[in-house]
Amino acid sequence: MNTTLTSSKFLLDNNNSPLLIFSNEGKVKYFNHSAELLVGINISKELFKLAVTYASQSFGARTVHLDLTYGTDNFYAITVLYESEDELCIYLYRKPRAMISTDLTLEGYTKTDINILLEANIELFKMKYSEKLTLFTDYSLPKLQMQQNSFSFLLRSILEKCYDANEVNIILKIKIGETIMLGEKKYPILMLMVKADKKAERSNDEIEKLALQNHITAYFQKDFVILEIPCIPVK
Amino acid sequence: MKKINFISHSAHIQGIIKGLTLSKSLFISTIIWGESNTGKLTLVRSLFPKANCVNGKDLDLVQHTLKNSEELVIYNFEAIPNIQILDLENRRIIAIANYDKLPISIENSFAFIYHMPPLRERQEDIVYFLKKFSDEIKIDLGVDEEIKINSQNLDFSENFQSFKISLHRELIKKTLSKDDIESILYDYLYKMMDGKNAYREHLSLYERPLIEAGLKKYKSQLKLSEVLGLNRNTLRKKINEHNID
Repeated sequence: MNTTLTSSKFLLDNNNSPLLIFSNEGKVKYFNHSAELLVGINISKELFKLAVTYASQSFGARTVHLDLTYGTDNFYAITVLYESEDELCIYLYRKPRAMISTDLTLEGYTKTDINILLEANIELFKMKYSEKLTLFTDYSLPKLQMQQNSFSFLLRSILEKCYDANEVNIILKIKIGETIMLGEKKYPILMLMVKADKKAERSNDEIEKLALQNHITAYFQKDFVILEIPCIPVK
Repeated sequence: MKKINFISHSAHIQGIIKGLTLSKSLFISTIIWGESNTGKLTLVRSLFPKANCVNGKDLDLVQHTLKNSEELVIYNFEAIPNIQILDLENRRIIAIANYDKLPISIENSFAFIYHMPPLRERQEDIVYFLKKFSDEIKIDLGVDEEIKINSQNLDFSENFQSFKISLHRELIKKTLSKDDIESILYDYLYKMMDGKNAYREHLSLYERPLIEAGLKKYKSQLKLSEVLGLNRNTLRKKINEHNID
């Protein structure tokens, strides 16, 4: 069967993974929709350097497995296409994100003052951490429904990675203008950021697993973890 | 119900108290572990006076109470052979365990894990309780005068239990009169005297402490022999006889 894909441009533009084409001077000549954010946060120079570094010695394509993080996006590999002296193309393979179950059963969820829960967890952390720690929170946050024990396991897993830090900053606030869909309902998002200048380089698998159990989205960066917590109101 | 007070001046324990106080309104699983007789149960009972309190040695009772209560204190938790059978979710559980080392399975079962330090590592508490217990024991002994106790002479191997016992002994020792010592020796010798060589066998009761105390006080065999009015060779012979270092 001989077929010609006429809509390849559409597929390229709307691909879930970012694709950028650079001129030989490093100027961005093309980027697809997925790469908009990367261009927006001004890392095109860094990506060009990456493409030059991993381009094959002679013309051709080369795929390399790398663990990359830009903004809140994680990538596990890149393909660099080097077909002419005028252009260099880089394709970043986006790491699939764990799917948050939209079936929301509130079994085990109880009315929670998240600030008290957070403070209890911080006190536990302080048993083994004596460096600088700051907490910026909104004490007027309404009570919400949470699995307190399971959420505490999640927080402990995150904080345990920060024992060697010189400074830990914890920020809890409502994320304005964004909601999360769970069980056909929209909920406001509470954002909890744990930032540490030095974090243990252990796998985030356990944290991701615990986050999923709590219908929470976790984002990982070199020096911080962000949790997006659905703000399920108390009935 | 008698109100239970828990006192500690240790910064580490103040942290535990703060954490536990915050968890009073939370449904979380907590464990406090450490050596026995460190005050774990007293601390928990003082903070959660209304909680059901069950012994981990009675597994049926633990399981029954877990099903029927939202707030539960389980002491002797180390006696529970398989903790996986317990549903610790969505309740306020405070387990108390006499572990010397925390088993790995505990880390996955409890969200909040606190280690109670042994008394020997709580210098602030030793100072406080030395004074408190000394005052109480002195009242019992009918003693008014100030008595200096060196905490290095006390036994902390079994935490509060051995501390209290050794403090009692130290205080009694310091308050004995010559008549008391004679009376104690009398009772002892009356009970133990037997055989055909009792004089030599029991002479060490007098000679050994006499020489040990003398050596510590004068730090010289020559000086001690003068003080004791003994020949140097005789003193050396007795030191060897009693294996005194």
